[in-house]
Amino acid sequence: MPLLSLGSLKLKNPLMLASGTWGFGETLPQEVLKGAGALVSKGISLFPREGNPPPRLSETPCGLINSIGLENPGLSVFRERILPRLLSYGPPVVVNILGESEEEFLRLAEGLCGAGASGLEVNISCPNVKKGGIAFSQDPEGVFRLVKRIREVWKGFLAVKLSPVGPVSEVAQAAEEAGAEALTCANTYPALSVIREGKGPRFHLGGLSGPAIKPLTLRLVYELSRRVKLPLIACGGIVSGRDAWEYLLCGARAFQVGTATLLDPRAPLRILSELDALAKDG
Amino acid sequence: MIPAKVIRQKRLGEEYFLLELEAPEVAEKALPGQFVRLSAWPGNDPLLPRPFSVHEVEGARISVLYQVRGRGTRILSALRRGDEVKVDGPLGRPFPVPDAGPVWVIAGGIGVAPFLFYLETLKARGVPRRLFYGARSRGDLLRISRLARLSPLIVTTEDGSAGRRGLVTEALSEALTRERPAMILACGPPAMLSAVGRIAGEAGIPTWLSLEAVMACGRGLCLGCAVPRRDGGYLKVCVEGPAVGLREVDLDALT
Repeated sequence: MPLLSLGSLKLKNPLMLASGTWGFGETLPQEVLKGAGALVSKGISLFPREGNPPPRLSETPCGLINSIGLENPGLSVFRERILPRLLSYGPPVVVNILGESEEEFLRLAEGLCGAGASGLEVNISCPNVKKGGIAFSQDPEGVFRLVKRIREVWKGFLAVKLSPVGPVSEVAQAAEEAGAEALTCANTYPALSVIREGKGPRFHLGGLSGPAIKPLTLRLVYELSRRVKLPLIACGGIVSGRDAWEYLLCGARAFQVGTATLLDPRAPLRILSELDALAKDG
Repeated sequence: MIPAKVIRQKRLGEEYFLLELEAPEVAEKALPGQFVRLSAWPGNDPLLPRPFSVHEVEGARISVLYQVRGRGTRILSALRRGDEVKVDGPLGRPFPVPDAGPVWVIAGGIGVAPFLFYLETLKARGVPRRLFYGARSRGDLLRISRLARLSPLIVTTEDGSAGRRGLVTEALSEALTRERPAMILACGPPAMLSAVGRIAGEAGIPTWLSLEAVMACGRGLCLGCAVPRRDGGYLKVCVEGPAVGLREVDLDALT
């Protein structure tokens, strides 16, 4: 099978496992890990993060709101103890990195040089503490500077994971000009559900994923594909081969599967075979 | 997720059901304390499969005992013989089975669900055991005659309509003034678990609490089913539980 190119990243198929939806592979069937085009790690920060208190999940019609709070073991544990295992699965590994300042992102990129990962996916949905906590994703100039500086230290594949809200196309263009090789479109949507608990109503704020967001992100991919030349990696509510196919029709070069894997750990393989069947039918 | 046929669905009261499934792969592997995820609807709404303790295993069949609480369980309760569901499991860590007893098992309400399978296993291994089973009222006591054949049984109800009037934790405290089990295992509402934790902790008895949390993946992928750990950070109910050692749990955060 010919390899698919996303900038310098070569994939055997267009399916990537999305960040934060497959653990570190411990409990996923080996065939699923080996069968993916690429594996995008859970978001890794410079230091460990313990994540948010419960509730971390709430279900909405066709959707799932999560507020995990970026729980992760931090750069050094990831690099020494976890990354070697991820690399052993076979497909190229892209490390999702998250920082609260440019310096944190740079130290992450430097710290991952030479560790075996094929690429980085920059999570710009976190707040920039130096800018009063406004997310990087709301600041196209900030994204330009951030990506340019990461590009100086990181020679491998470099993708930026866009937030679906805010000045999305300006941010996408900034990332392109600064030297990103692909754009992941997109992260979860800021959302809220009112959950009933023993003591009364409670607001659960988090990011919405799942089939509920597919038409929204599909539109975003369609629009962005007309505004940037970079390959787009679609990410938003794909649970079937048909969903993936629609994203490819709308301009995506590859796609990520996330919530579907939570519903059924074998979903990525099913999505790939459904997509294959659709492609054969023309 | 693999398809499984409904063998039968039995209504056990106003809001309680026993669902029996033909699921040989699950039945073969399941151990007491583990759970399955079930989905019985087409499409993506509800989105998440629902987690249930394995209640009983008989040959190629498993059953789950559940209370109708929301949309998912309401849909499940309409299933009839011959219908198809999708099942994922067994998941989670099995309950500890000590070589020597006695093991005291504390159930609150629908928290009794995983204990039939567990008591059966203890009985088969000759481990002395006792079930303390508390509910609101007579109608909330489930599978009593079956359970009574597996274990000595102390029943409490809050309204006194069956067994002793009061809370199951009161019966536990009282029994602890006279005897001392080798291990305690509890499953029930958070307030009950927290009380059992305090009582058993004071008595210095090795204790396990079977926890419940809203869950997405059931296998440690999403980190959604977090419960505060006593020493900081969060434990994940799906892979570190459902039953967790008392020393791991922050009892104040349970309620």
